[in-house]
Amino acid sequence: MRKSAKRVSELRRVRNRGGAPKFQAIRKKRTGIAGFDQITDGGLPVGRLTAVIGGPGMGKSLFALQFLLNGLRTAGEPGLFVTFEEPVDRVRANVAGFDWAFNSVPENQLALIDARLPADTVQSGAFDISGLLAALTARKAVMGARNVVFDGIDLLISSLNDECLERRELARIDDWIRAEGMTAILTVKSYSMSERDQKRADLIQYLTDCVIRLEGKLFDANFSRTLRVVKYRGSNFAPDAVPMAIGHSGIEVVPNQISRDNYPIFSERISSGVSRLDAILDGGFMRGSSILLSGAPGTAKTSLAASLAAAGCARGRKAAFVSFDESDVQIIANMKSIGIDLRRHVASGRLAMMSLRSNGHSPEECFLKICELVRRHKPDILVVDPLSAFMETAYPFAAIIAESLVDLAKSKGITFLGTSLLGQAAGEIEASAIHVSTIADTWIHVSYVIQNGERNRALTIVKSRGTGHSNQVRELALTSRGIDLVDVYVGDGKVLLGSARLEKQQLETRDERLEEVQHARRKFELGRGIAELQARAQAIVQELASKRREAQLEESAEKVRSTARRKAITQRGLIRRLADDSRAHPRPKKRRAGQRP
Amino acid sequence: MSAKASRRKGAVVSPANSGARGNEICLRLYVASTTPNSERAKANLGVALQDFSVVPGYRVELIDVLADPKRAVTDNVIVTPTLVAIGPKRQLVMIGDLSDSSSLQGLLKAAASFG
Repeated sequence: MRKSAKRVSELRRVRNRGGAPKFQAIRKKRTGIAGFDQITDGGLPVGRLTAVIGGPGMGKSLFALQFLLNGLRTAGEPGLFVTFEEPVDRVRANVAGFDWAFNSVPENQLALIDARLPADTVQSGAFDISGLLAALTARKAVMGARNVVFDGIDLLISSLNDECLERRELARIDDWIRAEGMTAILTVKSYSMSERDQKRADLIQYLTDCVIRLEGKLFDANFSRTLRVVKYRGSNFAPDAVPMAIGHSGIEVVPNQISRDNYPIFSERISSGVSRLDAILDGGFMRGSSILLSGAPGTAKTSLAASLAAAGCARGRKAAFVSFDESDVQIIANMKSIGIDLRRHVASGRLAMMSLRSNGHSPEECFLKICELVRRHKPDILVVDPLSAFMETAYPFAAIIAESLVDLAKSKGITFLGTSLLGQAAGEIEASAIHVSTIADTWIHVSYVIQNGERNRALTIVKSRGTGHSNQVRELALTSRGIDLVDVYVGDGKVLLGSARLEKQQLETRDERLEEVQHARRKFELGRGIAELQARAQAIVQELASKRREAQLEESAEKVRSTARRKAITQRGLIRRLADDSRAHPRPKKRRAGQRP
Repeated sequence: MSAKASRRKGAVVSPANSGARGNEICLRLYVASTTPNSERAKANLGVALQDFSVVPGYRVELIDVLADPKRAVTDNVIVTPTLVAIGPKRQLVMIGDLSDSSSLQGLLKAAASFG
């Protein structure tokens, strides 16, 4: 008696202390649901009451059990699970399907407590849950439990049928967990929308420190689950509804918070497996970048994706290939036909392939499966083919999930390639890929060009952040030896592909040959002409020299002649003068001695 | 402290040998110390038992779960007050402060009957 009186006074003291403005930052406890711990910045408030509200089948009990299990496994904190609705063995059966190994958890570490009243229990007047709390106190003392879950508490307290009494019992739980230093979750149903139930839900929201709502909604035939933190006293939290999935590991939450800023940056290039493509990409894809490969059906998107994965594996890296609606076997066979051997890489363990069905799985479920694959396989390259399998559903979070996927890859430094099924129209491309395009670093589009009754594939690099790249269209050729890019012919404002390109190529080759022959002939003829002229020039030069010689000789002959002539004249003159003189004056004798011949 | 006064026969029953004996019924009342609900339940049960026509013979076991929380665990007590009436043929449970005297009397009669 004394002991209990002491406890009551202790309760009061705690309650009063709660009201005093003694500031203490809230401590948090992780739930092990990574996305949830992220949006609440650390998990649930320690030593406080958290309400998990939701309709049937929304995963309230699951959330609570995961919290207990995580507390036990990561912090070694035993837990109590008090079930007001379901028998203990059914609770066990419900979670047997998850990969928790729940049945291996010893009862003294995680106690499942059946708090259902016997079926034929008659109620007469008001009651309280002191009995239960006393039992829990005893168990806690034995086990050292730190966490407790009241699963479906509304079922019990609703039979009090009085708002005041209900409030009192909830307050009793609150007092109890504070006094015992327990962290608690109350799960509360929210499907019944009678005035009373509504009031109770309001009351619980008011009384608890943290309120989480689990909801589900149909979009067309697609069921989308969400989790929303409605309130969190003393803490910041993301108030948006975030997508949630119940998978093999239980509840998982996909926080739509894209980190974006702290991506690792590499300067290394990753080969696409197509050397000509690497060349026009200035050496290949940037490691850790994201690549969007869009195009109409059959434009070799999967082949290019497989080529990147195979090239990575061949260099000793690890790759993961996620495909939608096409089996691994099928892809391996298809790729073999164009010379890409995926089987070898699967066998060596470098390539992990996963095939998912887009139908009947929400994008968040698929996302979580891919997350799991990334965790397990730790790939350097992640391929999702097609990424548009996410986007083309009526699910409300499809676009966000696609972004989250790119974010996941980039934050881990994984080179990401997603393919996107797009039609021919440019407008369509813009509209569907707008989200991903904003976060894709490189966007390659493969389109069909129909020409002369042929359908050919034309590859263009729409954008490539941070790398030089060609702006030219290339023809994508699929052969049994692999993929290749071929330069296309651009002329007369036309791009020629396929056999038109070949024809043009042959035509040009022939013309070129002809041109060569003609050139040789012209060159020969000109050579001959020049030689001829040179010969003629030489002859003229010789003739010129001989004429000059002749002229010289002529000149010297003339000189001789003129000298002779002058002499003759002089002599003649002399003779004539002598004659004249002799006629007028007879020549003295002595002058005749000097006469010249 | 766990077993308390029983009326008329004056026998104090220990938890160990509880259970119905002969045409007696065993009444276990789980209470939470002296909280108002528990006090009312004790009083209401006392009043009902004063009417000899309702139950010919009985033993009352009063269990204070705050003083003996281990008992609350083993007997899986959820709410207080809880009255468990163990008769020769059946065991009946009533929760609450037993303020509805006619339903309490009905329960006691049903528990004591052999049919």
